[in-house]
Amino acid sequence: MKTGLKAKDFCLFWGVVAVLGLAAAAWLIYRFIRVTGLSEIPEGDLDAMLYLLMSERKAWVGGIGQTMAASAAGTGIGFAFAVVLAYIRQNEPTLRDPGPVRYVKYILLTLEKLYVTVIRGTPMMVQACIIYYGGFAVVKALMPGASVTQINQVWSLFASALITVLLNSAAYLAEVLRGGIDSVEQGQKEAAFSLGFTPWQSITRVVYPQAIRNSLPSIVNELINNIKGTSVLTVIGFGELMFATTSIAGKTYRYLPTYLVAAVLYLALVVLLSGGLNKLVARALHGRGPGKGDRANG
Amino acid sequence: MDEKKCVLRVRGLEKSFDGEVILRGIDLDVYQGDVISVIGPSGSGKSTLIRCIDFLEEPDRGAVILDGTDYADTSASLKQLHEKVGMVFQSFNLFANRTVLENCTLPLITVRRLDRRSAKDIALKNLEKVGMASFLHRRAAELSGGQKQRTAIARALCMEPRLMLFDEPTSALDPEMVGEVLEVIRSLAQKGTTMIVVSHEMSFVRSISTRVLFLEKGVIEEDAPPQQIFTHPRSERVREFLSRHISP
Repeated sequence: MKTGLKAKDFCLFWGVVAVLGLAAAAWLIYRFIRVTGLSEIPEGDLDAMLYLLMSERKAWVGGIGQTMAASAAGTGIGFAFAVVLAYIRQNEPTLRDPGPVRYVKYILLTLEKLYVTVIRGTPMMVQACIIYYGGFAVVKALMPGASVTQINQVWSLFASALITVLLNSAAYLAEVLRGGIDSVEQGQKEAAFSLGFTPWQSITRVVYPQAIRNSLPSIVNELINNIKGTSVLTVIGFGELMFATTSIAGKTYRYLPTYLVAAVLYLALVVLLSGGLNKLVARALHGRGPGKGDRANG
Repeated sequence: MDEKKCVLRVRGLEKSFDGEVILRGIDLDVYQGDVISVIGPSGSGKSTLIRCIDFLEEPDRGAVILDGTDYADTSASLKQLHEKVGMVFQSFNLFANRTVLENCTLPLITVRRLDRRSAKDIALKNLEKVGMASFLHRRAAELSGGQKQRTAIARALCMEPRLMLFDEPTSALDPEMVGEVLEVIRSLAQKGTTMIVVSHEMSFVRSISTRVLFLEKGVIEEDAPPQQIFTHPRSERVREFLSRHISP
């Protein structure tokens, strides 16, 4: 990190930060130990945060688990969909295609554009409601006379949440991949084509490996966005971190400390994950040293 | 030439970009063992001609016939053409992030469906020919321009093409690397590889070609053996061009 500070000032600055940080940490631990022994929620907001963090730990952990499950699985499956969408997008109809293939490609291309426009043009909260209640209505129609509980067993909140996230990620990641594909030199495709690769082979063996590498930082970014973004799924009652937070707040009537704890937890998740994943990405992008086994001119 | 087998037949090839006509009816017969150099002023359509032969550009009109199949007919499979015609680009176009060896084996495994071991054998044999056998595990990005181009030539040779196309193979190279690439092409020519080379290296063209085409404004102005075209060109335009490109 280039700070423009002189080495001496730099050490001084971080020394002070470290001392203050340690002091704050020690003080927090002290308060935490004192507070957790109490039988009811303490008055002060900070004390209340520490108390609630401990007393409601099961709810917090459960919420974090659901948040992570929906965002990780949603981003992962969404990525697989995005690969297909990006393929449709860049595989434009050509003169060489037989008539029907040209029409199919044209129709798929139009649908892909429509899909991306609709998903990117509507809030995820609205989509979640449409998917949940829409799916509910479909299952209800298929199972006449079933109770809400029975319907929810088939059409679960998790399923709706996962589908919402993955449909979103598919659209956003398709655009990310499109950018990645555009950044691969045209000559790569020409080389593959002139060697007899089919369009699919050219894409999967030559273009995608490069395009995905180029898009890795944006893919990590999408996962991070989803961790925060899944908070809107609370609207359908999916038990992720925001839903857990609202429940705790409603139960304890201590709104501010509860939401502050949620903020700290979200921040911790995002910082830890983006730190770790960005390191992995950096290694994938730059970590390749010279090839092994060069005997001559090594 | 009658006893020689005709590898490629081009008839009435036309191509324009955005209304600007680049090729105006090219007729060309390529026989086995021909080393045809295409020369001419820039913008005369040299690159477009060989890119159209390889269908990197779709010709507007005309026929490109190889083994009795007219590939300009849009129902023909270009995959078959590409397995028989090798292309070497000005900008190398090696598969980025892959090693020298992988650049050669990938097409063999993907297109010709060979197993890894036979692909490697073929790759080694051809990398040997271009002097790249000691750089097998270097990544494309770690090579010099000359090494990249030699690898690209080996990659094309691996597919055992009937015809090799070279699109200004030394134009993107630093001067000190031109020689090593030309030597590789020269040795291929001497072994009887059928090829069409677009080049600005006049002394090279003169020494390796069996025929030289002079292209101007999208038509073949002259098609003659090198001794003739370089010493007694029939066309005034050719004479003028050569006098500017060959130091006296």
